[in-house]
Order: sequence, then structure tokens, then C-alpha cells
Amino acid sequence: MFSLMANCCNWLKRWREPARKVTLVMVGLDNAGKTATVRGIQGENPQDVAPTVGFSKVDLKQGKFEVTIFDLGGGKRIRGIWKNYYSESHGVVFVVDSSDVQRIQELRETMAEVLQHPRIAGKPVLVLANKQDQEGALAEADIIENLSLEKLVNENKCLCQIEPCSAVLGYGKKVDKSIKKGLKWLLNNIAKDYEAITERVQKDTAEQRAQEEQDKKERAERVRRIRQEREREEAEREGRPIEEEELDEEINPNPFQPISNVISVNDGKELERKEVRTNSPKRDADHEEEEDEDENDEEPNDTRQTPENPTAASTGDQERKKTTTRKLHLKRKHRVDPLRTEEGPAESPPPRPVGWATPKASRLPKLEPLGDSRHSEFHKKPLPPLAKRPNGDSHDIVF
Amino acid sequence: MLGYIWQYVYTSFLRYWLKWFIRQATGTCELQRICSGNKPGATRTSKAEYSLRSSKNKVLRGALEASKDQLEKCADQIMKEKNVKPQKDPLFKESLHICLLQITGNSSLYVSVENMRKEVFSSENHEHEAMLLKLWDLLMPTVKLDSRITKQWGDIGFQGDDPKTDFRGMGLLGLINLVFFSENYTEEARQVLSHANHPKLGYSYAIVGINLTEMAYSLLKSGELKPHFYNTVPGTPELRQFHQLYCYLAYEFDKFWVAEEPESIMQFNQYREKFHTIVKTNLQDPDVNLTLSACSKK
Repeated sequence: MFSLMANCCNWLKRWREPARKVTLVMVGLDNAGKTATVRGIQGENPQDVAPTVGFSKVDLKQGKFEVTIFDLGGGKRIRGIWKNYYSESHGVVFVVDSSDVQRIQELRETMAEVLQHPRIAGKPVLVLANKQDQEGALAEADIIENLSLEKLVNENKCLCQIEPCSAVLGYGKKVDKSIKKGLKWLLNNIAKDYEAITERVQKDTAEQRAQEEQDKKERAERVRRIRQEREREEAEREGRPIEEEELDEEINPNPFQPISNVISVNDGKELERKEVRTNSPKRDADHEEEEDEDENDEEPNDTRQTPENPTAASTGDQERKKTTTRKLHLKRKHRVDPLRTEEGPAESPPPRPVGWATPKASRLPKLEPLGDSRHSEFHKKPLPPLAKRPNGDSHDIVF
Repeated sequence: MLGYIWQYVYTSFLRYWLKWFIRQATGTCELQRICSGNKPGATRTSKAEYSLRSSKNKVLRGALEASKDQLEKCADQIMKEKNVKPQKDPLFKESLHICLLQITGNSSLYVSVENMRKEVFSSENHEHEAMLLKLWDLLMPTVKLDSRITKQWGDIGFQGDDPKTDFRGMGLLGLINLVFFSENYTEEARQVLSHANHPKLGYSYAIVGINLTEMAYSLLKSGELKPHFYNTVPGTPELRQFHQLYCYLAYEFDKFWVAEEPESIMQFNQYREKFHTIVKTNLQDPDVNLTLSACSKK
């Protein structure tokens, strides 16, 4: 009796469970039938589909699951972007054009690349051997053999099921039974391991976001460097006087220069005055100064720049970044910035090395240069308005 | 709910009473008033279309389905039916004829476009092949194609080594539109292609073109393009005008895309929707004219 009640409770619990959100990626070569398959599942006519440019996101409800499908374009040049969608996915649907025997090698390579990707390996994979209605379509077994699917799946510990199907035969309720079956299999397998996969998805997504942020910064940096190079060349060509500003530039971006360098340029009194100041206001002044300059430099990039996530970047990245900034400084020495001439020495930034002496920094003496290089990183780019900028000191603590 | 009732009452009774009343008062029928009261274009033709469609008279409604050659006769019949004296209103017949041409032309245009779309690109067909190669030569005059199946097709935005599969969905229509654009607006097409090959803002020229063909096709299918054709073509719209509309879309989309600076090609569908909305809003305007304003117009 009790067990019956307990059972009832279980059912109730399960019934009241909120719908599970599942994300799937749909990949495959171009013209495999990805969009047609999705349309069929959605209940739309799968015929007359134009090539997918980019991707389309489709939301649908399948039983207890709220499924989001990323229907990715299959074009050769777009396949490199697929991996950006792997981290968010719980499972993979790989659509194969079974009738396209000529491109089987390409298919094999693409399939291997997908399954071997660290963000895919271990996730359940449904292979739809599409276009079975066409003459000369390879059978299930042939495809498994041609793609060495078994080996691939075992190596990457993916649960895998292959379904021969034909996406254009019907849609909505009449959609090919095997597609339904396959989808059900995939969702059930995801459900079995839902917590673990979700956790992995969350972790991977966070990692990827961080990585993207990082890449964006690096890209901005590159663009900046190229621009500076160009500006410098232009300046040289025009034969503008470079010497006076050169010195100015020298201290400005690089916080790691010998102090003597700095002193030689800055008027001694000024230096002393700044040395007494605390670390942060100086930095702020610094930032402001740089901001002015940067806004002039590269307006278009301005919007892209978001406050970075300090936890995101690994120390290795920092190291790398440091070297890039160093290189940059060498180049910057020769740069002519018309703005600076007008501003004069009063606005020239305070010598950075002074900051090293602050107590907070000394707590982490080894990492300090990295933290600091990060600041100089900042100077290289357009900054968001002052209020939004991450606090410089907090970085020092994190690293 | 009240709106529905009102609409029902209006269309089934009030409208006729009102028409009869005005007719008695002014001595002119509704079509005459439409033709004399509006300047030629979308407003006049749309109103005439509505008037004819909701008419109870078989002759008037039949005129909407008549073929092109019979329209002159239809116009005569309508005048007889409505008791319009050609001497009294000499311009009426001509205006009505043009309206009829425009109205029926839209559906016949759809039929021919649909036929062209249904035609599948086939490698066996020499005409199709020649057209494809012509597209390459027009867009890339300085580069020779290595072979029929080559990676180079990617340079003008096809997905694979053989473009033929990319014509699925839009069939020959997609190809003809692409060729038409590069042939009649060569400068513009190359400019668009150069934008499409931009390392950062780039997109796949050809398949985006095919997607825009789909947009033009669906706009035509839903009848949203009517005002544009009513305004620009005094007569039956031809396929040529449809291709021209595609050129407009291709050129304008490129402008839009470059101005928006999307993060990557992956955002295409989002921006496509945005662009679609803009075009649809433009089409709401009765004076709409979606013609590519370029100097090299033929």
C-alpha cells in the first residue's frame, strides 16, 4: 500500500518536474538535409530549402524537453565556426547525404573532426543517414564502414545511433519515423545523464565565453598595432619631427622602463609630486589620459570593448600578452601622436614603476608584473567609460 | 469583436448603399471615381483591385482572371455594364486598362517566376552550365576557372566545389538573378562581391544572393510586392522587373550589412530578418519604388 503511494508520489514528482532544456547542434556537409530535417520535425514543408547562411536557431517542444536546435550551415568555409556552438550543446545530430558517394572522404574527415573535438567527445551523437529515397543511397552498414564510425565512436566515447531516413518524405505528424525514433533516442540518452551533461555544458560555455573575450581583445590589439604601424609610416613619410614626441611616447605606454628613462624626460619636480601620491588616483589619471588618446585612435572598436573578466585569463595567456605588449612598445616609440604635442608635459603620465611599491602589490611580488602588464594592456585599447571599468587593484588580488 | 461585426455589416450592406448613393449623386461609378481621383500608381490600382474584387457583378470580377489579350475587351464590357460613356470620360478606358494589366500581371508574373524556380539546375543542360560559367566570368574577369568543379567557387560564395547543389530551393531562378545582377549592374555587383570577400565583414556572396532571391520570391508570393510593381510598371510586370527587384535587394542588403557591421556570418539570419522588416515597411508606403538607383542602368 505504502509502496503504491510512494510510487504515486514519484509519478507526481516526475509529472511536475519542469521541462528540461536541451540544446542540440545539427551538423553535416552542405546539402545533407539539415534544414530540411529540422523543418520536418517542426512541422513545416521540408521542400525547397535554400542554403543556410550562418545558422538558424529553432526552438521546439518534444515531449518533456524544450529543445533548441542550432541548425548550422554546412558550407566548407563555415565549418570552422561550428566549434563555437559545441560547448552549449547537450548532443549532436549529424546529418549525412547517403547518396553523395563522391564526397565520402570529405564527410569522413568532417565527421572525425566533429567527434574528436574535446567539447563533443563523450556526448551522445545521432547520425541521420538521409536521402534514403534516392537511388544509389548507401545503406546504414556501408556508411558505418565508410566512415569507420565504430572506431571513431569508441575512441571518443560517444554514444551513437545511426538512423537511415528521408527528410523530404513528410512533415509534422508524417515526418519520417526514423527521424522521430532517432530524436527520441538522443533525448532519452541526454536525459539519463542530464545533470552531468548540463554541468559540463555550463562549464564549457563559461570557458568559451572567456576565451572569446580573450580573442576579442587580442584581435583589437592586433588591429591597433597595424593601425599604429600605419600611422607611424605616414608620419615618417611626411617627415614630421619625431624626436620630441618620441621621448614622450617612450614613458607613456611602458611601465617597465628603467626609472632613469622616465626621469630624463619628466621634469624632476613633477616626478616627485607624483611619487607621493597613492597608486590608484595616479592610475586613474593615467587611464583618462590614455582614453583620450584612444578615442581618437580607434573609434570603431570602442563598442566592442567590454570590461574583461579577470578570472578568465590563464597565466599562460598573460605571459603571452606581455610579450606582445613589449613588442608593441618598441613600435610605439616611433609613433607620432599629434594630440600629445598640444597637451604638453603637464599631462604626460606619471612613471608607472612607482606603483610597484604599494603594499597591496608587494603581497604578490612575483605576479605583479603580470598584473601590471595587464594595465598597460588596457591602455592600448579604447576603454569603456571610467565608471564601468574594472578596478585596477582587484586584478592584483586575483592574480 | 465589434470591429468584426462592423466590417461584416460594412462590406455586405453599407458599402453598396453608399456606392449607390454616391452614384446617384455624382453620376459616376466607383471605378471612374477611383481612376479620376488618384494619380496612376499603387493607390489607384490597389483601390481598383479592391473595388473589382468585392463587386457582385460577374463581369467585373471576371476581368481579374482574364488573360492579357482579352483585357481590352473586358474594359469595354465593364464600361458597358457600368454605363460609362467614352465621350464623357475619354481617359477612363485607358486608365482602367492599365489597372487591369497591372492587376492580372502580378499573378501571371508569379506563375512565370514559380516556373523558373521549379526548374532544377542540371549539369547536363548546356544552357545552365553556360550561365554558371558566365556568372564567374562576369564577377571574376581576371581569374580563370581551373575546372568546372573547383574550390574557386568558394570565392564567389558558393558552399562546395560544385555550385549545383546550392541552387536547391530556388532552382534556376537563383542563378538567373545572380547573372542578371552581374550582367546589368556589373560595377555594383563587383562592389558587392568585394564587400562580401571582406575578411571581417564578409559573407558568402552567392548563397546570400540565393537567400535574397527567396526573400523576393516570398514577397511576390504574398502579394506584398504589388505596390512596387503598380508604381513602377504601367502595364504587365515582366520577369525582367522581378530580376531588377532582386538587384535592388542584393545591393541594398549589402549596404545594410556593411553599415550594421555584424560580428560574423553566423548572425546572417538575424540581420536578414531585420532587413526583411525594413523592406516590408518600405512596401507599406503607397509611393514605394524599390529600384536600384545606379548610374549604369540600361
